[in-house]
Amino acid sequence: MNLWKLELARLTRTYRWMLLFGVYAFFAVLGPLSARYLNEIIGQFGGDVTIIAPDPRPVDGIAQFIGNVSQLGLLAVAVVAAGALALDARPEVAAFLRTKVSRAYDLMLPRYAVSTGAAIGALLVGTAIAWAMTESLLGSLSVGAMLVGTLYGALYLVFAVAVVAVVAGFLRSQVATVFGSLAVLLALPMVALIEPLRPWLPSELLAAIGALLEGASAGDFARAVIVTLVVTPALLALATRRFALREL
Amino acid sequence: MGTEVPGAVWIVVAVAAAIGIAALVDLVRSDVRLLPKWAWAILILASFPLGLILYVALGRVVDRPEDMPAAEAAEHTGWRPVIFTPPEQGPPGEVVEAVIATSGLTKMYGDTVALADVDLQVPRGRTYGLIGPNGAGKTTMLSILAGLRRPTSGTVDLGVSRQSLGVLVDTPLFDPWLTAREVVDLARNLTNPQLPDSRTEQILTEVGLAEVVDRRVGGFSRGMLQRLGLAGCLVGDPEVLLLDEPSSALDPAGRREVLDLVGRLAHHKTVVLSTHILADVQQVCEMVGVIDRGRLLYQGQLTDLLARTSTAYSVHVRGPVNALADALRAEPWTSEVTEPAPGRLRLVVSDAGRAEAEVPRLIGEHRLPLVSFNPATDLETAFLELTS
Repeated sequence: MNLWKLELARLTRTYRWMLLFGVYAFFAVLGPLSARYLNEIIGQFGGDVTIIAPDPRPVDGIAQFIGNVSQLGLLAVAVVAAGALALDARPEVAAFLRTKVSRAYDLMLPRYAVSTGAAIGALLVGTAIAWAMTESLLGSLSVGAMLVGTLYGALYLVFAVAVVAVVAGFLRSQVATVFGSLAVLLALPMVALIEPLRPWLPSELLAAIGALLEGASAGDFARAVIVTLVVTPALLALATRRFALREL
Repeated sequence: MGTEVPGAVWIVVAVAAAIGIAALVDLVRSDVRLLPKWAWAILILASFPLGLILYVALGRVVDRPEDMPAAEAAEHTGWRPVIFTPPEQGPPGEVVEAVIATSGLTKMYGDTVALADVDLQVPRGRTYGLIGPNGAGKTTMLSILAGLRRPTSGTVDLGVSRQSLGVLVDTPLFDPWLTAREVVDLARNLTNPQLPDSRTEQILTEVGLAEVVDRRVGGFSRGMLQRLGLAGCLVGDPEVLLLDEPSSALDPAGRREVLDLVGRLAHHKTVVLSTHILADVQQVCEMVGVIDRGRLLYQGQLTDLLARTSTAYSVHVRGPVNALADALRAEPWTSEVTEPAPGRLRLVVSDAGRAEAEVPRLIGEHRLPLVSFNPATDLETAFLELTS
């Protein structure tokens, strides 16, 4: 047993991977289906009211999926990541590990990497399912936009898990870490209301796939990518520093 | 576009409903945390799937104790022969140096002084008992030595690397979904990966957990966790052991076993043992540090501490002792006479020579059959004199 296997065991034996992959897969199925049949579903419950909506487009299937996982998927990611990264939540467990490693970084890295890998894996599975569903129900999608958009979404998750790590560095408990991280991650898009800042925000990458399918270019997100690539290591360094300095 | 809602949509709805029902069934059967079951049920129903996600992630106790019956669990905390087999070592050095030395160590928690200007000196290869009442600062001291807390001021000099320290906290806990083997193997891998895998099983056998090596530790009793903590502490073959109340959760047989183990370790390791059970220290420690309200009141050989303590004797006679007690109290060389049990007296004296000459004479004068007359200076006496 080593620290990497420990994190894989944490993911599998606590069934958190099922939560993560389940949420993404569930919305991957539901998104394209609801986009395709939304009018009919509303019509069944609408009585005499006639609802006229434009015919769904292929991009709507992916947009529905992304819209759902932007909140509930992010919640699942925060829960799974906090379970691993709130490493001082139980001081006695933390003491066992902390007294056996020379650097806090040694504990942080596997926890961060495995949580991020699981989140990206769930995103990839979810996107693949949503793509296949959309292709069969609504029509074809741009392969390039899908690949680049998924890459950007994965990059956002790299950032999001780093945010969870920092919050865990300031708050000990798992619950506080989940809600603190969500507060930060969900507040970030509000900063986008300040138009000059919007292109620089990592949160722009979350739904980039929709914009790319609508015709935006990959370069439109270059500033958000750069900020994410710069900020994420800084967040991890801050989180590691917080863990190293914290007393049990 | 068609006007019929296809079967796939209803399948998704049915799956979601099935998951919700399964969650509610699980809720009824499982232990929960954070909120009561009824609150979780409302949350799951009212905010599906958000409530479900929160329940699975935060509310559900996945690490329920293993299916080990309580009686069986208790059995595993019982006596097991512990034979500690240390790895091969070279001959012990002749020069005894301090392997742990603190200088002016002070720790404040806000305005509260946890440690005040402590100069601890632990010689290499000795067993050092750190004793003191609850809240004296023992755990804070060990935490600082282990690197888990930082001193407010002062220095700590360790003669070994931190990874050569084996640390056992007073209430060890582990991720409940790991097996005992995995816990100890993780400790081996982190502290001394050169040791063979077989070392893990060997050490688990030595602490009496051979029969539960592949059980998840979520079902372990506190005594079993303490043994497991000890195994995790020893598996890397550390040079220095910091043991915080190592026998506090154990039954008398388990406590005896741990003390025997510490006694054997004392031949080739440096052991710092923190406890408030003075009898444990008197049995296994050569050196002792007495700490109270953050201050180190005494540090040195246990025998020296006992020697400098007031001389006490116990007297056991047959018959009523009231008259004898009054006679002893009247003597100028007695400072305290108490009757801890019928027929028994405890004397604290200022002049041991006179006491040893006069006490038998007084017993004879009172025509009381003498059962025993022994010195009764012990660590408890010394401790109480220092801390009172």
